[in-house]
Amino acid sequence: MEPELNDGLDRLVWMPEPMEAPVRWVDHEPISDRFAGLFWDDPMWHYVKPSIADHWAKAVSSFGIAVSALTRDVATETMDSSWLEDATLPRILPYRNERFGIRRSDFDRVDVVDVRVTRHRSEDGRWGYNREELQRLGVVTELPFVASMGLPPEISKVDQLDRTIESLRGLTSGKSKILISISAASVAQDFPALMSMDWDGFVLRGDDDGFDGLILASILRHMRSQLSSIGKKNSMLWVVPPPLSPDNIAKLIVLAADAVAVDSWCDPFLWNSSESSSFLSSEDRCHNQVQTTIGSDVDRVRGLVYAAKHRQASSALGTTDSEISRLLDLPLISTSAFGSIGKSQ
Amino acid sequence: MTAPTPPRRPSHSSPVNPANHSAAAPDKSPSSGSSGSVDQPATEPLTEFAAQIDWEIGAPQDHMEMIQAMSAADPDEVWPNLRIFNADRTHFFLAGLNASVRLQVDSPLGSHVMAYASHGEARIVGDVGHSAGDGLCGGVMRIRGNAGDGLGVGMTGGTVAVYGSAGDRVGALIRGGGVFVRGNVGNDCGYGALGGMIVIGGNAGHRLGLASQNVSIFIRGKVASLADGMTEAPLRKRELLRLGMVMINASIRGEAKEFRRIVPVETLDLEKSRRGEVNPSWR
Repeated sequence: MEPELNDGLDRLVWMPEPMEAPVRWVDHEPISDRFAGLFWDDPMWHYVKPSIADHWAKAVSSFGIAVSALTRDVATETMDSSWLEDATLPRILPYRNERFGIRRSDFDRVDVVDVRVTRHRSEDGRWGYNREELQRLGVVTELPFVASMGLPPEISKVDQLDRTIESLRGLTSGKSKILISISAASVAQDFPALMSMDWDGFVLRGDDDGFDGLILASILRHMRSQLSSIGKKNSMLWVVPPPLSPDNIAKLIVLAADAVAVDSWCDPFLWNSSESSSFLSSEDRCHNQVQTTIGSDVDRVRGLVYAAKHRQASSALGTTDSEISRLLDLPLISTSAFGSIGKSQ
Repeated sequence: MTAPTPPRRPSHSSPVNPANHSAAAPDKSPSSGSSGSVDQPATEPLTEFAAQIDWEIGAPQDHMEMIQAMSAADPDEVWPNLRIFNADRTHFFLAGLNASVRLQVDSPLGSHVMAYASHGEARIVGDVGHSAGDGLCGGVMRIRGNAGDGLGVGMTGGTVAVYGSAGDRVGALIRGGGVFVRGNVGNDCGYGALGGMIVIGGNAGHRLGLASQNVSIFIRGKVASLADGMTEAPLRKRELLRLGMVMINASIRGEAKEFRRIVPVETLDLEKSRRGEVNPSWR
């Protein structure tokens, strides 16, 4: 996939391995490590039929990308989901405040519950759900549009969210990770109130607020530092950035994130499928399409992250920008010896 | 998930092993008034329901499997009556219930009782915690006690009846089914509701009907404050009949005409603009 954006993360560079570093003869990831640190955060399943959605979910998750979906997104009363039946494929349950479409069975086998304490925004930019989304989520209403909520309906303040977390622990029998989604713009306001609760981590949502990848990296590092101060350094920190290239996604992972959303890579599968109902209807064809389109990008992210895994972020990445160097505590690469050409970069 | 006090099993009793019994044809005469496999504690008063008990079971971790195994094979068959003891303050009790059984639980329960249940009937004698009937999509739950916050949140079907009072956000976001509270309810009742029915026999707190659409809210007592854009109106003929039937079925005392309905101002204006809608003239 071509890098689409001029993101601030482009200003970070990969630092070379020290020349004296010993060669690691076995330099590959274990095959059993299926999760690539990537996830498909908010697929627009209403674009395609559940049977097609099921193929795409299975194809994408087989590349180690965790996929977010409700049972009703990928299955019907008469058709089971082959994706859901495969317990080895990573799955996220999108737990929206309105709980539209959620069934008891959704909690049965799920790796991560994404508690979205953020308002849902429809495609047209409004806070809510349009008719097509409502239809897919099984909401029977005459209204053309239903506004979304900022908090789960059973609570009125963020500091009561532990009640919702407790309920999800019970519904998943404690087997799933509970992540709290918060907007990057509200971290300063909401994060302190959430820190003492019984979650497993956070999903930082920066796509909707227009945040640059570099700013998200600095927010993530701030969050990680706050978590370290309360003894929760190893909590999961996922991030939903604006569209990024594989290299910049790897940089985010090396800097602070445990997983990064790749909706900009995966959403086109659904758009293209919706244009022709017969297009790519078989499981194999979906798998091949994923392989052809994003297979090398996933490998690239895996490779870069693996190469940097045994090093601190501060030695794996550097920058020629003094401000970024200070912001992210990364080594400043001196370019003074190269004159004006170096400085202009 | 249970509260700090773990379920206790009295030494004089043992749980039924459903594998050894046919739920559809229990070999126990209900008329005897005692349990199918264990001695009835002599000190415990029998309720009307308990007099018809077919089986008693304890509340071990796998109680849901037992209940499922004792379910009537066909919903049209006679449902077995089960009494569950030792469920004291258990959280998520009967969560996901989907069985053709009638249950009586003689103890207070924790949070999320019958959450996401889809079928079956339960009568709970005692208070329940927060979020009872959370996500309910079918079945009936009667609570002879008080309920915490978030009663019936996100329901899409079924019935929840509370004979005491309930906390904040009763019936928030419901889209179907009915929530009945004989006593008072707290703040934000009916918040974001998109359908279904909420009946309040007592008083309501602040912001009643907040951001609700298309839900039928009926109240008999006082309202601390209505949400913006909501107003009170008398019941229409059809609602009097509907509520009257509901009250009879739910054994709620009084008459339907004692209630008012809470509706969006826009909806009431629309009704008024339709001739004969509010005050039908039969002449």
